[in-house]
Amino acid sequence: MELLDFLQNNTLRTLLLALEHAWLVGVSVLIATMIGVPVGILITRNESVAKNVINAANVIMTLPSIALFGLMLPVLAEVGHGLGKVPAVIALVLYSQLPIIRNTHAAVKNVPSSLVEAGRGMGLSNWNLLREVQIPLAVPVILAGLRNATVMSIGIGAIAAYIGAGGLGVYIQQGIARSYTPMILAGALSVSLLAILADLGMSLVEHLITPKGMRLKEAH
Amino acid sequence: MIEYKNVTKIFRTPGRTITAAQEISFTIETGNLVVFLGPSGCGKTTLLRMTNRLESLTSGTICVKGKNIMELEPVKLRQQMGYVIQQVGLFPNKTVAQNIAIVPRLLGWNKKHIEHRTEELLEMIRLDPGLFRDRYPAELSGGQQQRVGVARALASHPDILLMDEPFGSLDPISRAQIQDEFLNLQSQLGKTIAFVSHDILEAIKMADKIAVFDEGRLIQYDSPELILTRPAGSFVTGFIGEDRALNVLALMRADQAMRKAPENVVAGNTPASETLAFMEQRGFGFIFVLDDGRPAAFATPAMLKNAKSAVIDAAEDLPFVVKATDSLKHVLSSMLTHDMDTFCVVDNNGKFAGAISYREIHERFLNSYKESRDDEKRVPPVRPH
Repeated sequence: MELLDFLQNNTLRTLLLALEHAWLVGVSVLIATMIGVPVGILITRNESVAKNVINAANVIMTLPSIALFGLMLPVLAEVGHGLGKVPAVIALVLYSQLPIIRNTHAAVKNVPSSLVEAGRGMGLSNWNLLREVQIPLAVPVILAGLRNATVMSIGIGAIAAYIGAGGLGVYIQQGIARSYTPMILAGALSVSLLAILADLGMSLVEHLITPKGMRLKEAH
Repeated sequence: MIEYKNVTKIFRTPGRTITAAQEISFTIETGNLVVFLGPSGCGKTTLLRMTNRLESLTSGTICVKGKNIMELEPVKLRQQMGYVIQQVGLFPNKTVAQNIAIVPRLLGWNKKHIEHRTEELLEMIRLDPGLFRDRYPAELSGGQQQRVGVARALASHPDILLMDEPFGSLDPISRAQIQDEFLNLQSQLGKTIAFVSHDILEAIKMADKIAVFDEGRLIQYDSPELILTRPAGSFVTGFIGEDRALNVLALMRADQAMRKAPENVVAGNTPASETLAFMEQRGFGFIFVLDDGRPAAFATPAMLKNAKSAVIDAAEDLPFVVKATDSLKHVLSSMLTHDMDTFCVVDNNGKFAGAISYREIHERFLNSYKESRDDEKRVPPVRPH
């Protein structure tokens, strides 16, 4: 089979591209989390602000990825980063905001009000309440948001090849340019495999990180 | 210990103004358990939540241990008071021990001290520390969860407890059990407690004093006996219910009403003939027979007529006795159940302490209405038929 031949002949390159792709997604999701989770927590204080922020993130996500990459080009070209990994990471960070902020906000809001009432009533400060109760209980849903963002970023990252970011999308891009089907397939399949593995891996992390008390609750 | 002075709370929302509390003034004395009683929406929960600043006051002051609550930071104020709510609110991501330890930990107690206190509290609420310390709330029954909730509230030795229908979510049997256990605990600890309830029976059982609220106003603030025997107006009368006579009886004990040295009592080894002669002489229709000081049987002249030996051999076993500490409500109920109108009363050791019949109950009940000063407030006593 041509595909298998191709993969056999290009094992190293495939792995390097896969690594590059994973790096791209990893860095983006990390930055997105460091922005999105605190924002998600902060907006639980004010419902109208929350609505606006989540709407904004939603609008960003509705922009077709290739259009967003296109928009970045002239803007970032000013600072010499119109092409390559920088615009890709910026775009991926922007896309990931919605699942992360929305999930974080919902997760914290969904902590039962009786817990918040009991906690405040016994003298927990807002910060203590967050740290001891709300965040631990929100972690499973926040992680689900991260998982969502990761899988989505792996997909969109494939398109980033078109602005020179590298990654497994390169196979798809070059394969199409050269009409070389095995290369296209190699790109498509490896991106899909990467997405599935990432999804499974993060599900495992979700399960391990869920506070034991909550796992018992699910079992009931 | 907790003083409410002209406390007023008005909720203003677009379109509606709700007065949850109107010029409420009263004092909860140190060591007392005061029940805030009233129907839904009367403001009792709002008043409780104003006490620990979960709700702000529109006007008036609340002083806790002499200090205005506004002088303390809310978080610091709340750490000085235990708070127990109906849904319990145990943190599901923490073990029983971690739940109980949360306030001490935030106050900076050292580990050993916390462990010791946790164990002490688990034993106080009668949950085996070895078994329950590392369990999660999801693994506990409703009653167990609520007990842990109480332990959690007591952890840092607060002098004051605020409780909002704490036992309301339990089934009647568990609720009665936990009420008894809590009363027992309170008799040892002597905390100052504000306890919200909508259940008149719970209020009568638990309270040193009851504060009755209606639509934001304090209607009456008295002991359970006075609330029942001298209700202040039609609202309280209606709220305490039609069976207030029975509820008054629930507050009195058998040993407060019984005849302490009735004469129709005889030792079991007395000859039957002698007993019969005694009964005929004094005109007794029946006599109680004791065995080693304990009520064992009863006898009528008919039973003893041809009896040869000791009276206890001819007498009929007593099916039921009541304890000196039983409530008059229980005694009356037992009279109906067992179809008897006189019982022997026994002390803690099972020894004969007195006799009680319907007449004594009725007299005791009427006496509780005797010193009525204000005729308008007095509820007419039950008339004999």
